[in-house]
Amino acid sequence: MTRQEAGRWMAGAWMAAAWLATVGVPAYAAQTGPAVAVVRHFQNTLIAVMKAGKPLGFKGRYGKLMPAVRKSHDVAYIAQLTLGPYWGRLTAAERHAFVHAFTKLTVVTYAAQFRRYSGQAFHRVASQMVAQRDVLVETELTTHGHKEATIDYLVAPTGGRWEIVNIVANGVSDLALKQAQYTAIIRKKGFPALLATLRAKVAQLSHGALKG
Amino acid sequence: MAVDARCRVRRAVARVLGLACVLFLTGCATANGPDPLAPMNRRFYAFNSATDRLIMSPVARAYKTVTPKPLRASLTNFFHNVAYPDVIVNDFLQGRLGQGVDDIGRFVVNSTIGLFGLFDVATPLGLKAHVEDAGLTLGRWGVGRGPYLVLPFVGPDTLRNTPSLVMGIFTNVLYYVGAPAVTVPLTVFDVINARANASASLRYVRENAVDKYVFTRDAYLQHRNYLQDGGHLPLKAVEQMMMPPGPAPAPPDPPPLADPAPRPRVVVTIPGRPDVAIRPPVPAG
Repeated sequence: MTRQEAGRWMAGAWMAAAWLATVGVPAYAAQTGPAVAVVRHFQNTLIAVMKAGKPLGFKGRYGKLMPAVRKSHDVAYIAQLTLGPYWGRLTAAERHAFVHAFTKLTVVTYAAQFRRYSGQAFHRVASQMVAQRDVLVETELTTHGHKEATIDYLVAPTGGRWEIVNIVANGVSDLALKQAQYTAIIRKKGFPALLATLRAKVAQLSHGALKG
Repeated sequence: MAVDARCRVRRAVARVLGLACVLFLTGCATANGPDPLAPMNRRFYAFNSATDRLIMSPVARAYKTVTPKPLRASLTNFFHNVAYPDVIVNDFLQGRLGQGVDDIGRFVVNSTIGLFGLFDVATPLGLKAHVEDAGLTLGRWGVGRGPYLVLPFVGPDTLRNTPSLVMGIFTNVLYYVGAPAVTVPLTVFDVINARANASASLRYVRENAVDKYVFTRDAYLQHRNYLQDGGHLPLKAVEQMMMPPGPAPAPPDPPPLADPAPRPRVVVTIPGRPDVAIRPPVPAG
């Protein structure tokens, strides 16, 4: 390759890079951007709740997190998936009771776990479109700059909104864990036992402040 | 340095206990499949939990009380470093030559500049830690996972991973130090330190799991799959999970009312949110 050819090749490469930077990337960002914004907003809320964890107390944290979870998670759909094939056997009243208990448990778990701040921060690593037009938002949780875990969010478009439908920490899917446990309980003891277990867990994690 | 056989056995047992504790702590995920040994596993799980509650948990609490956090961090670095040759050996057995060379560099840097591994100076230099063991090597060679196991004093495991317990002994630097007066107390510290480091994870399981055995099994297996995949998200498995479920297995109780709703997501109202009762999927394209 002559110097002139090399120069032309370099110029072409730079132009391609410039095109990607000005056209390609924003187009991609426009696809994943809203999903990323949902995750970022939810993580910001978590950090804010942790920072004010002590003065807020459990009930205060629960009160702040309930609207944040409802806004960012498709809790009813997650609840449905956690029951796998058993969802189809429930009556409308049972489904309603389950989603109600599941929603409370989800928020209570956040309020119990994210109770104090000790230098945690979330960093977005990447985002990509995956099957069914869902978006995978990859993030890292750090404490004082040291990586603690990789936390990936699967965000799905429903009814014109983007909502989190699964969270995977270090390769461990929260949805899969719940599905394995819930279906095991239903198989052994039936749906009423599962509902009672979830309600008891809500009462336990909230130290009796809430009932399932 | 050669030592007599009894000392070797003692150290080997101690190392197994140490590894057991680490596994017990880190163990948690299912990418599931059947669990043919569930009845036995559940019994050993209960045994391990009781042992932990009665012995390891109080000891770890006392240990955390008397050791400042920086000292615990340095001890963790030290124990991680003396066990690191296991990672290096498995790097090469898996044909990951570049990673193996990096890991040798990491081990040398931390063992020298890092004062016998007390300080992790390699990570800031770009030599990050990897996780490899005999189980992952066998997986890379195409050996099947085998049944899920819970081993007494060891915790969650799989049949394929059991050679790791033995290989971890012979690749640990402490095995070759030779003086039981040094290695036995160090091994005890290793076990206690690992248990103390796992306190938060174990508390999470205790507080949040509705079936601790299933939670631990599924978390462990999912995490092993993740490591097997080189720390990449098993995207296909995650996507598969988001698909509508098939029909329920056996119908011991009431017959199905209706098929589970497919992707059109929400089927019932969220408490306090009647507005989201039905949300159709976004049309493709």
